[in-house]
Amino acid sequence: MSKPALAPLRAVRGGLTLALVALLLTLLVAPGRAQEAPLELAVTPAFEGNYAPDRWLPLSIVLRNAGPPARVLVAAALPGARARNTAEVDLASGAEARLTLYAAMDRQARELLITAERDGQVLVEQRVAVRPREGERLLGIVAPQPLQLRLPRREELAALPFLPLAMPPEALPDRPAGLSSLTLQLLGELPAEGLGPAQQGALLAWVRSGGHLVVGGGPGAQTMLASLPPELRLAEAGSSADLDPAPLGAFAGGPPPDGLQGVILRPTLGAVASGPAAAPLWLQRAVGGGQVTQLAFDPGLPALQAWQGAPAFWNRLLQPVRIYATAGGDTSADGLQARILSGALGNLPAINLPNTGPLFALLALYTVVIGPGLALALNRLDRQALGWVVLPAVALGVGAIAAGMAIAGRPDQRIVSQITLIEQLDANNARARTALGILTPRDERFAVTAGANLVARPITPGSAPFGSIDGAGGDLAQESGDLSLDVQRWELQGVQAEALVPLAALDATLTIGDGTIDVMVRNTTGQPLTDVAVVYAGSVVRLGDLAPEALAQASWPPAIAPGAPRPAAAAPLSALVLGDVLAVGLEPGTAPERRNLIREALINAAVAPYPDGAPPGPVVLAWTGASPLSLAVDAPGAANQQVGLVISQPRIVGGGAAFIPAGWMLPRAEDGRGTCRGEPGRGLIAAPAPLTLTLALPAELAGFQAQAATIDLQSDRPWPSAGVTTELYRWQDAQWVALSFDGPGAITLSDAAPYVQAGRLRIRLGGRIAEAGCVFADASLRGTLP
Amino acid sequence: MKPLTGVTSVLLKELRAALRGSRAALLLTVYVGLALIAARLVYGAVAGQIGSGPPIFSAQVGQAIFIGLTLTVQGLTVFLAPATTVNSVSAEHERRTYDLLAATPLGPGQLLVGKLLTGIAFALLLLIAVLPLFSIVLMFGGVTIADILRVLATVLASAVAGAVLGLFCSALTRQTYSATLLCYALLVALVGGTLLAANFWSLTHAMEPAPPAYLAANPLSAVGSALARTRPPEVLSPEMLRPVVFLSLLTQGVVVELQGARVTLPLYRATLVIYGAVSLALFWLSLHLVRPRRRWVPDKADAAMLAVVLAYGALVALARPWWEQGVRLP
Repeated sequence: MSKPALAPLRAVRGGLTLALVALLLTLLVAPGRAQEAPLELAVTPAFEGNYAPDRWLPLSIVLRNAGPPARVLVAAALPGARARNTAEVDLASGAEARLTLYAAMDRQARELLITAERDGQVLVEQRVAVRPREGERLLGIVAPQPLQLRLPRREELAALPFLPLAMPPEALPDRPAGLSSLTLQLLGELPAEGLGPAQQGALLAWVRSGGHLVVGGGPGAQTMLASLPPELRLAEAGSSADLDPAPLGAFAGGPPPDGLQGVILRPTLGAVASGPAAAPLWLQRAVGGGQVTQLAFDPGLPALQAWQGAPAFWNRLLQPVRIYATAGGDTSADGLQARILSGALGNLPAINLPNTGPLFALLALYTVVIGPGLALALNRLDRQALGWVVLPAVALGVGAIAAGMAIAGRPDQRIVSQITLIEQLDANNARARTALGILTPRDERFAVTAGANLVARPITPGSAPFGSIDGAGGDLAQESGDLSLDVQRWELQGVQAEALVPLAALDATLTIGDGTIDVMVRNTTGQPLTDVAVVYAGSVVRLGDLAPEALAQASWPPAIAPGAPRPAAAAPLSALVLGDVLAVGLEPGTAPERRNLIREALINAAVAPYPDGAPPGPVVLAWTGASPLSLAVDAPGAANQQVGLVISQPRIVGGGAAFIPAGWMLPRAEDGRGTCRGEPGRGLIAAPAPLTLTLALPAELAGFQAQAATIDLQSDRPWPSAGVTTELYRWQDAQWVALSFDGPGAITLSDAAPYVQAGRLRIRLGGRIAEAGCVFADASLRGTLP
Repeated sequence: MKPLTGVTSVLLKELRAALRGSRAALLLTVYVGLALIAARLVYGAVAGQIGSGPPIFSAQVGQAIFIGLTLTVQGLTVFLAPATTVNSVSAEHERRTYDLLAATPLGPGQLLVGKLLTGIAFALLLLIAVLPLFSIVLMFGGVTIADILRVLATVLASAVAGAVLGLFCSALTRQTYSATLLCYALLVALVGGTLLAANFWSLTHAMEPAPPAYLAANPLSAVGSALARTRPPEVLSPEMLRPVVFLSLLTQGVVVELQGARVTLPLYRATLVIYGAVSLALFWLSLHLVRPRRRWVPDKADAAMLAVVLAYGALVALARPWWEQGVRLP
């Protein structure tokens, strides 16, 4: 065979060889690529993986990248969930990244899957064991070193067992969501550098939404108090001292501990002291919907650990503000608010109605043409028989034009609704929660962007008049605020986002005078506010709309005489504020406007953290259409609705002679018994006797020095004519003083000073008081404000 | 004369005559005008409450307009379709032209078929004329092709049956006034009587819904059952659609709760079968009524009608599972 004849064969052989080499290289390189992404993932759940149902679980995540630089998506997913919480991390080659990812938990998940992905491909994953804790006291104990508390053991308690969770201060989450699983927090000791601003904000938001914070005393008390937000400080810590332990024993129902070292607490306004007035053992004050307890001693004292009564003491002191029980529904403040906000989304905005005018005009013209018009024309031509052709032709022609117009003018059927609750935390910050719901006629993915550093979770499932409400699927990115929501057709689905947002507090003041109360609100939020109202004690002061920096003033409604019916005081706050507009929609044949129903729900959500939905002091309510936590949904043309409610507390000021009208002292039963409602307002169930109640002024008026008081006692059943004992508590000598009172009616105290301390007046009704049914207690005070 | 030629000649003559004068224009104007007013009123009513009460979606606005418009068109068709034929025979008698017609080679069958087709053609013209109004529904959506076909079949069957009824009354009374009176008395009895009977049954049976068979011959109930399936998307609660509440007045026992699920019986199928049978029967009777002599003696036309009736009977028997669903609960 000649050489030229062999040349093609060689070429083929050469090609085959090259192909084999290429294949070999590919096979060699492919596993190398898999090894090229040596991404390490280490996930540590907070609270040892324990979480309260439907709350958040922070996950500490460490990513190490030994490969090339990469942008990695970290995702936490519950088994079977459609939505994931995600965060994006830029990892340089050889770098390590740490982040906290907030996972929205459900009610029963026992495992979380955390993945690190790039371009949709899972690079590495880790499964984390988690455990729901329902009906338990998740107690976060914050201290640099583990703090030993002698808590009651699980088997010693019939309900609400303790689950102590040690947390170093630096691990304290910097978002309220991170603390949401905790029922209680005990600050044992904080380092000198204290808490960061974000941690402080999160702590304050957590307390306001129903958390119980216990601040330890002891040597580090001053440092600790200095690093707390002012709203959470109940006292100034003084010098060290030997404290009287006897009240501890009395509180625990046993012998006291052997000695108690602590500090002298100097209470701030509104804090209620327990123990000797000169050196109280602890102070308590309600803050928003939660509570703060300031101890005068170190909770980890050896004397307390050795004390036999310690379990009973801690069991009684460390009470959740609102018992967390999910049987029949989550009753915690966050859970209630989430449910209310989710349900309110069902009040969808009105759809965008198209401009039907031109179409109806065309059809009206057509009616004239198809009837008399064509008949006249054909008659004139004497071609009536042509009508059998012309009439259908005109009808079909006009039909085609009309159909074209209809299709061109067809509105977007998608509906986007978002409602935001903005709770003012301090002078510069607010906690905002936005519930976003989307309804679409087809399965669709929506890109949602938010300006704030938020965390988001699927909305609480519920139902609306038109169908069900459910959480959306997709990736819910924290930090960046870019959400990708998968919404199924014809079902209102969405997410609930929350964030701490910078927001200047409303400048609102109530000035108490001698018979007058003046209200002033200046809009310092920078956003226009509408229907601003100040509400308290069954009264509403409406200030109208306020442009940025605008100021409105008004007088508080005239005082109602003690004993006069005050049904408004028993009405829900939302009914009080929106009564008129809601009543219009309740008349026969009418329905309330959905926008007003949203407002009603938002007010209900705002007051949900408070017992009976009644804030312990005046509140300012203002509506805004520009939410600081606005979620921009990429759905141009969709019907859109955005409603926001700002709730904040006004300052209460005054000086000199002052008169506190009836209704301003709110009754609270000291044994936590139930409330009742009636014509005179909100009352307390009288049975069983004795009924010990406290009438308390708003905390800002705790310094009020009462000189005279008129106490009014009423009941819904006939007041027993005999056998009822009435006593007032005299604070100076801690004695109950019996009164000769032939109820119901008013008791006039010409010298009220001994009975009113820190804005509180205690009354004990004994004997046959249980027969009175529901007891309504009220008081008006005359005195001076410092 | 060939049968077809006879029918064609009558048809052409009648078609030419049908559009003469102002009657046809008036009927068209009333028909389209009232339907347009109904559509505008329904739209206004829905749009007026769009911000209050339960939310209303775009598709539901379309469905409400579709239901309102269809009920109006059906109501007008039921009462206007007989008007297209109610004078067709009687007018010949009143104009004394009937004997002349009888003297022509045209048979009674050819005469009746020609006049009936003219009436049906005019009813069809009315339906075509009203079609552009349904474009309003397109603006909002919510209606499927199946919904339209169901409703169209029911309205067409009602139109044909109405035209046959008018023809029968005309042939029976031979006077337009009497025919009109009889025809509308029968219609009122059919529409109102069946609803009354169903409600009376319900009253005497602890407010239980009456058996759907009570309403099977009612043209409004038939179209109501065809419309009752025009519902919001399946995941939405049907209570949202307010016209459905109105429809329930017409469709007692047709939309029922069954084992927790809402079931809509296709009553209109039974109505189609009944209207077909009644139309054949009335037409057959009319054939005899228009004969000038030996009125009740069977002839070839009867044989043809018998064949048609038997074929129809066989078809109905074969389709029993289909139409029986309309009057029997699953």
